[in-house]
Amino acid sequence: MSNQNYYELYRRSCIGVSLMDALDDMISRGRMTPQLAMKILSNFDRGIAEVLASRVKATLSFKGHLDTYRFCDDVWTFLVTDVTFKFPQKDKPSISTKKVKIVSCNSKKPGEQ
Amino acid sequence: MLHGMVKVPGYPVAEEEISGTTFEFWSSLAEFLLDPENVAESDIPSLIAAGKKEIMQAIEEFWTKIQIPPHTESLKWTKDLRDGFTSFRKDVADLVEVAYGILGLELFDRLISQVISALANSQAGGAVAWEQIEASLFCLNSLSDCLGDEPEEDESLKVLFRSRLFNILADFGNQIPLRVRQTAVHMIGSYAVFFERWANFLPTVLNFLFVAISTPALARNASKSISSLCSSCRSTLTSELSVFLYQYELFSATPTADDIAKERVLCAISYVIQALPSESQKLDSLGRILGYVDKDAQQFLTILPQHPEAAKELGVSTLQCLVAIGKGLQAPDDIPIILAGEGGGQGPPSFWEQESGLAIQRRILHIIQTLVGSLAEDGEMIDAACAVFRTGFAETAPGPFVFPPRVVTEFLLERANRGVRVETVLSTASTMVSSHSLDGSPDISTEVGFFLELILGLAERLQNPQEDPEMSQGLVEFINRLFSRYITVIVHYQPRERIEMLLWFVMNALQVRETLVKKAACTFWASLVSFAADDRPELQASINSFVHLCGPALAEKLVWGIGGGASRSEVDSLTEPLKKMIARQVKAKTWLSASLSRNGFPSPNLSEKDKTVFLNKIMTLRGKRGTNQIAKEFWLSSRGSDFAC
Repeated sequence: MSNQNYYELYRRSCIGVSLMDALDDMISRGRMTPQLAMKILSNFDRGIAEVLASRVKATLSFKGHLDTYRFCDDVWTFLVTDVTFKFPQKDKPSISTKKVKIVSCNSKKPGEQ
Repeated sequence: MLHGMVKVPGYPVAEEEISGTTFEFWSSLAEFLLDPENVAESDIPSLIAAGKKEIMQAIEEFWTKIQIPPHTESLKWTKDLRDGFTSFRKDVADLVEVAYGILGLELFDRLISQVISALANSQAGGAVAWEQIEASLFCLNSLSDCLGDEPEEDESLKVLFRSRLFNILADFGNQIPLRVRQTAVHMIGSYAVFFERWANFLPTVLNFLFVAISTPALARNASKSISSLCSSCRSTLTSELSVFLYQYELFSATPTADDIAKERVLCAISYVIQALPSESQKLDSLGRILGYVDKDAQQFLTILPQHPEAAKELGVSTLQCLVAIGKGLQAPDDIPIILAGEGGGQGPPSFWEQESGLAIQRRILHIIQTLVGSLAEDGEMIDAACAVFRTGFAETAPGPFVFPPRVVTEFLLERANRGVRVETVLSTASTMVSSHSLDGSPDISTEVGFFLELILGLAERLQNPQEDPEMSQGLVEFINRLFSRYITVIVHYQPRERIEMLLWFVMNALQVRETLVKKAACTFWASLVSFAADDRPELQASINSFVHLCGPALAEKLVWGIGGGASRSEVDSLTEPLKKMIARQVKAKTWLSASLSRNGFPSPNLSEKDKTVFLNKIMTLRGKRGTNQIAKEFWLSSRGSDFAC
């Protein structure tokens, strides 16, 4: 198996948080060791990165005013105001919001092909 | 070679899989040309000119590829192949959008001239190449979001909307592939902003759309586009109201009239009614659309005895139509807001609070009560009825759907007393309280008092919030809405013991398994312990007495949760009331210290030193943001887990 490290940022997504809560519960009840839980989380990091890259085709478009942009340590941060999100599905209405913060990491790690 | 790959014969995905592999190249080329790197300044103009030529050629080649196959051909495809072809078209739409960045107006002109040429060919005696027209409209659709506020593309679009195209499409006697009309319908809705600028083109497209809604396969998209246009161009369409009403009457009478399409068209008509300059002018049109809703309500009553299921569907749909009308009549977001002066809510009665205006409101209420009353135990009907009332909550000025709070309260309490959809009742009541907590809104303390009685009764019946987490959440969230304006209703309630019972109920909610209940309870306690009414010492004293009563128990519950009793994801929520308590309550340290002093509490994994260090750190921070990190570390130590994420 590859020793490649994956971003851990998806652990803060709803699905990541739920997974961590479930693992915490199992550790507390003695049904799992912390080491196994760490392995599961590493697998989660890899799995979600692969699935998002290869299997997720859903798209949306958005438009707004770029208030601030920042690029530091290979991380982009955008603050966008008066944003409207539009979905390609005909039945889905667009969503508007005053402010959105977008934090983006490069999907390819340095040196990765 | 790359052009050759795009031009490979056969339909993409279904018959060839080569052309789709070139998307990334063409997108990358277009993006590169927008900002060429590592190219000498002198070479850029010629590079861009050459690049544009190649990209335009690629777009034309893809345009050929996305043309819909004859129906007989596509019938032979499996679902996967059809989905694959659709996905290919979406990728082309994305590429067109990217290419616009470099091609600009030229791309628009090319697409529109293709449509005009195809139409011209029919005038010369040839057949109309509808698949070509559809491909052009499809590409134009993907460009609708690219235009600025006053684009030069408007002149090209005028050529398109001035052409015979939409008149031909509106004539359903013409044999035209369904997909062409579907794409045209979708495209019109996407260019609502163009029609805002050039309203003179509206009659042609609206005529087509209103004819299209009678075709089941087009109804939903056509109604969506009608709604979009009416919302954007409402002021210019007021003279067309009678035509719209007539068209709706024709449409709703067809046996295949789609429920969602009906709602959208009613909403669209309501947008235009909303734009009428005076309230009295709205009466006639409102009366007419309520007449259509009334008709459905009568039909509901007729079929109810024999066909209760079908009647229920019709009843819910009728209420949804009322919701759509209510939403359409809401004031747009972009109108000036008149700031309320002193004594908000006073002054002479508005048009909707007297005579003919009030009659409209009574008519709406009668429809709701008839439908709900006939199926009193039905949750879906109550949900829909509450949605009707909610449309008025957002309004700051009187209107036909802005019901008196007394009326709404009576309706909601009657539902709650029957024990049906109590969660919906609580949620609707919460929204009503929020909307009446704004500056200048009428005071509804009396109505809040009635709801408080309901809340107290529910809490007494449940005893433990874990018994019914969903209801408990609604209950706590209602109380949370009272802090900004109606906290005195709680404070002055007698007997006080019932309020204390309620406080213990919300206290126990901090230990319920369900996260949402816990979070609602955390919000309540954060608000209570930090409540400040310096200009009302009596109120402040009452609040303080509640806080001192509950302080020690609150500290214990929070320590339990942060000390491993709650989930990791709930620690931040629990830290909020903790921070507020430390910042605002003099006895916070005493309460926390008392709970931490218990042996083995909150966790046997914690030593006395761990607890002392934790307490000192959070007290030093005095409720500042760093407390969250300390709490998370305390949670980890308590659980004994040796991994940190």
